Amino acid sequence: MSERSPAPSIEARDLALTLGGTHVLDGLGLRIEPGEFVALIGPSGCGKSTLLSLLAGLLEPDAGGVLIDGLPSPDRLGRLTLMPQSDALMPWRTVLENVLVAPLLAGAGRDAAAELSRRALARFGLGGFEDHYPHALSGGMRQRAALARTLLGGARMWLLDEPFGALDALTRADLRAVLAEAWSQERPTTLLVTHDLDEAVLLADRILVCGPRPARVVGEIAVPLARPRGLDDMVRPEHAELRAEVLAVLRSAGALA
Amino acid sequence: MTTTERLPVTAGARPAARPRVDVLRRLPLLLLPLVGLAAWQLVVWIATPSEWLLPSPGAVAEVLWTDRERLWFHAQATIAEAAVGFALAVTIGVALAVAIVASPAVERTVYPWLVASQAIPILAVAPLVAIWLNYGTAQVMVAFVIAFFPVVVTGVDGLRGVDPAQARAVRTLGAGKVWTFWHVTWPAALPSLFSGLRMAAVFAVTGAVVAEYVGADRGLGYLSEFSTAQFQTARSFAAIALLAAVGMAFFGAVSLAERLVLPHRRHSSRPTWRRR
Repeated sequence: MSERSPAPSIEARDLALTLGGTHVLDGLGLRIEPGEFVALIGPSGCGKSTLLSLLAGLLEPDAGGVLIDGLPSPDRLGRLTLMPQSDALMPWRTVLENVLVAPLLAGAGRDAAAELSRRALARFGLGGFEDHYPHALSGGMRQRAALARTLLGGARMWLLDEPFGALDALTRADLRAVLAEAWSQERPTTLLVTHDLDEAVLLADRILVCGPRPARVVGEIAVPLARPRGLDDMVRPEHAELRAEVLAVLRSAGALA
Repeated sequence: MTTTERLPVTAGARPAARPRVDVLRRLPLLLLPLVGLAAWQLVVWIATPSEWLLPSPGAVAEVLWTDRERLWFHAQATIAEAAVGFALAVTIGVALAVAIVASPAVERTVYPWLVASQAIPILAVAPLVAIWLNYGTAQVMVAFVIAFFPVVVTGVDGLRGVDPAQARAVRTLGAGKVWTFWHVTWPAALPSLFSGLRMAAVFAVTGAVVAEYVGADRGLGYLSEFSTAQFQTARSFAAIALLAAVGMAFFGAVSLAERLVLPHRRHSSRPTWRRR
């Protein structure tokens, strides 16, 4: 793939969007620094997924704008890779053919794309499963493949929409470690939408709290914990304190009782 | 990183008793027609009807052999009419399905009329079509008209049924709209579309035969009608038997194409409640 470019910053400025008469977003602003990992946490249905669609360029806002490296970027679609909660693998393609799509669309030749994909699958523990169809794999394995595809897209900005939300707790912990490692190597500018406090504290440099609809950022908590962070770190007092801090912000925003 | 998950994913690994189970499962398929033929023969032996009223299976089999050249000539005509009608139905039906999904205006103006057109009984229109068009063209036309409806309906449903998450994911990986259509929307529509194609294949044969009944100079439908009128009932039965075989061949051809085009469906075609 091409020479690695430095990760850009992402900024949302006063985003407003009305869908079907509902104000989904009304004056939302946020900024993610180059190579920063930000987690966005908030109540269900507060418009987080819509925000990701806007950032990705799948939707355009009614007002406000998305700035990449400080510049308005109407043609940003394809520069920020979206990883959804459903793995979004195509059931008629084998695991290899699914992952292969990413380097192919990034401009690699077919042979090079296949080679990159094989290596990525092996790295993500899916060696030997290249020629299986997705329905023959467990949810965790499918999400590993989706992660490999995200990585191979070569984008320097990742948008992760509750990527592990449908997995059981053990598989989720496992996949978090895989994601953390991949992110540490690539250092893309990342926004993770999650419902999981532990996930936010384990993965993010900074946690943004989103209020009920229309979505706005109502609080911000820095996570100054050293990396790499493992499962064992979850029982440390610093982790518990940060968790409590996020909970307090969620409560004051009216997102929690 | 090590793999922590291992699943018994090899679909080929089934218990060794499989072939015997298969034979048992297929037995009724062979048994049913045999029982039917035996009952038929029994009725002929006991009631001894005149041959023009109810010929024996043996008599029909004899005609199938002795008159094979004439039967094959007419079968070829029917196969050709149905095949051309089916091909037209697929081409125009799929194009229309894409247009309907792509444009709300086309959907509003065309779809309701399409549904209305199917409420018109084809038997009432077929004689008119036979008057307007010459032999051959009329049969193709009627085959096309009744075969293309299931293609459009299943095509539209299939194209709409694509998982939006799949399309969104590849769009953010840099795929354009054309790429997304050919690599995501179209393959996602194929399972549904093939259901329509299987129906359309059988309908095309029916359509061709209906049009042969009302006005033609060849084809199995024509031969059957003509033979009945001449009290050559055994030949009429032979033509109908051959017609059933043609319908099954059309259905089988589409099913075979489906298996070749959609290899991933081979393992998941059993309903969840019957999977072991």
